[in-house]
Amino acid sequence: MTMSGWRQTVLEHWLKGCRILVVEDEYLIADDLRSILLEAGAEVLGPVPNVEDAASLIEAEQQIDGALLDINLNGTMAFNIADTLVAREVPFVFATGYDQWAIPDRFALVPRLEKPIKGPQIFAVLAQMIQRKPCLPPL
Amino acid sequence: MAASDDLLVGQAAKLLDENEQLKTELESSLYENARLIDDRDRLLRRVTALARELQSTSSIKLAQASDRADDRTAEAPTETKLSETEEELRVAFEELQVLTEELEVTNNELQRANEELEERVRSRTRELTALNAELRRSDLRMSTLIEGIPQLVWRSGDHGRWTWCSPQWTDFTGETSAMSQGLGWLDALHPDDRTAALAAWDKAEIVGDLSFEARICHKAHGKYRHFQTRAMPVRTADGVVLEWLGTCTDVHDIMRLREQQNVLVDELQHRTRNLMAVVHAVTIRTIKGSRTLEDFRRCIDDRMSALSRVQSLLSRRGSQRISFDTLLRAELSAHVDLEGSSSALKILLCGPQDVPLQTSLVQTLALALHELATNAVKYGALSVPSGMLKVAWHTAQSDGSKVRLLVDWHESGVPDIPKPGASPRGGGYGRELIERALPYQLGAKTSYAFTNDGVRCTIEVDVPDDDVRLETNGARTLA
Repeated sequence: MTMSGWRQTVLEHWLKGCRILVVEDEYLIADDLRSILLEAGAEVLGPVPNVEDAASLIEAEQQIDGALLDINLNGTMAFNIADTLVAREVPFVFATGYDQWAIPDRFALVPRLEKPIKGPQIFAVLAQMIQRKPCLPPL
Repeated sequence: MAASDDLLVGQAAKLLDENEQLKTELESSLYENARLIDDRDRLLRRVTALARELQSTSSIKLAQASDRADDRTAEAPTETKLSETEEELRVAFEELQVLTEELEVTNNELQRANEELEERVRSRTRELTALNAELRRSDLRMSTLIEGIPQLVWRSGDHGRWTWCSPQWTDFTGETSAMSQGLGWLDALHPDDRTAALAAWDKAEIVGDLSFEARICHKAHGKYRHFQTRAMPVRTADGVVLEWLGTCTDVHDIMRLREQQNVLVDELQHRTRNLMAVVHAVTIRTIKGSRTLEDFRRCIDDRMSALSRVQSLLSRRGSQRISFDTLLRAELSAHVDLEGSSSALKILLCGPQDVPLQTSLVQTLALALHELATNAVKYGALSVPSGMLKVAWHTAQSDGSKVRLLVDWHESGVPDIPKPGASPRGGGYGRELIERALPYQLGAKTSYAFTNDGVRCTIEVDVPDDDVRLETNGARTLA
């Protein structure tokens, strides 16, 4: 196995058992993300297609280890959801077709994945953000 | 305008120089005149004195003549004295003649000099009058221009102390010229922009021109509009700043259009990236549902065509909404000739025209309709002679205020119906779109089932609020 292959395996492993929230309004994309995360052994919260469903899901869930957040939800910007996640110290990434300048400055440090998103990208970014969480298995 | 003004000012300066020169000349001629007048007076005095002397000499002569008649003996010595006097008189007459001639010459000179001067003064006065008239016309042109341009124009001393504003400023802000003077103009600016405006003035005096953006209150509407303010100093030949001339240009609409453009670019980015992600997802699903590469090629080709069709509908409509019948017809037309004679017997479309769809629904609904049509052509009502497809739709207002569109896709006359539990023949993608994607994205209610002789599918979605049309359900048979 190559170095990048090993890395991939390790990163995937890091997601195992993590509870990941997916907020994405396009069904086909949401379903793809769900499949990718399920294959890596993560538990998927959602996917939910809009701000209201996302807010009630976040409120209902005790444990959220990470989140994938689409910015434009059928014309509504998801920055309120992002603020809630920041307040709860949940690491998250933006999945978007927007340029960086369209994102408010307070989220300047939030990683941004450009659509269409591939599995390895999610593992690399999300897993590294979550790695300090207790859900990580020993290496 | 500026070039001709420079010319006028140059001409005026030249004329002023010439006038100065004429004044000097006039002074020296006055001095010369005074001298000549002195000479003349002196000469006149001498002429008068001589004339008197001549008179007295004449009267002595007359007296002597009468004496002679009385006393001829005293004649001799008096004769001598008389001839002396006559000699003197002759000399005096000559002198007087010379002086009178001199006086005449001097007088003539004086008159000529005066006439010449008067003529020169008249000519200069004419030139100055013409120049003044030209300056007045130029002034009028300038003020007409200043009051005719759309910009708000003003004049200012140092540190932004205004001295004058154009009627445009008064019309827009409601501030009279007097109110705008000094720092009065600041009152018309948005409170948040005043500090920056004053800072720009501080900088202007260092860099030599003024430029800043600020919101100015439109008195008539009570709203602020964005203005670009610029000014340049008017300097003397040695570079001393006399005053500042400035304009405020309304850039509000340009800024608004620029913002709109940003929003549109954003939207385009969003749509493009999303579309790529959808293409990706469709491709993955098609790969999973294909047994052979040939299967995949045909299927992916159809699905990409469906996506292209809906994209072209979306882009062509601009901000207008796409109606359900337009979308349905576009998808069916890709599979069958709706105008053909065979379709007339097999396909029945009943429902009102122009029921608008939410834009976010269009793409997914198009894909779903595409899958329904594909399956009908491959395995369903449009694959057998006995088959029949009826699509009926209508709008209805449920208990709430929401208007819903209800669509009923009904195939019949299909003998070969899959057994319950058998794996779906089209890979189940169409069914997934209808049963899961539409409810997920748009809160649609859907059903998908096999009856005895064909597929029956219902879709119920919200009609957008802004353009609700409740129409009587007039059934229409196509083709």
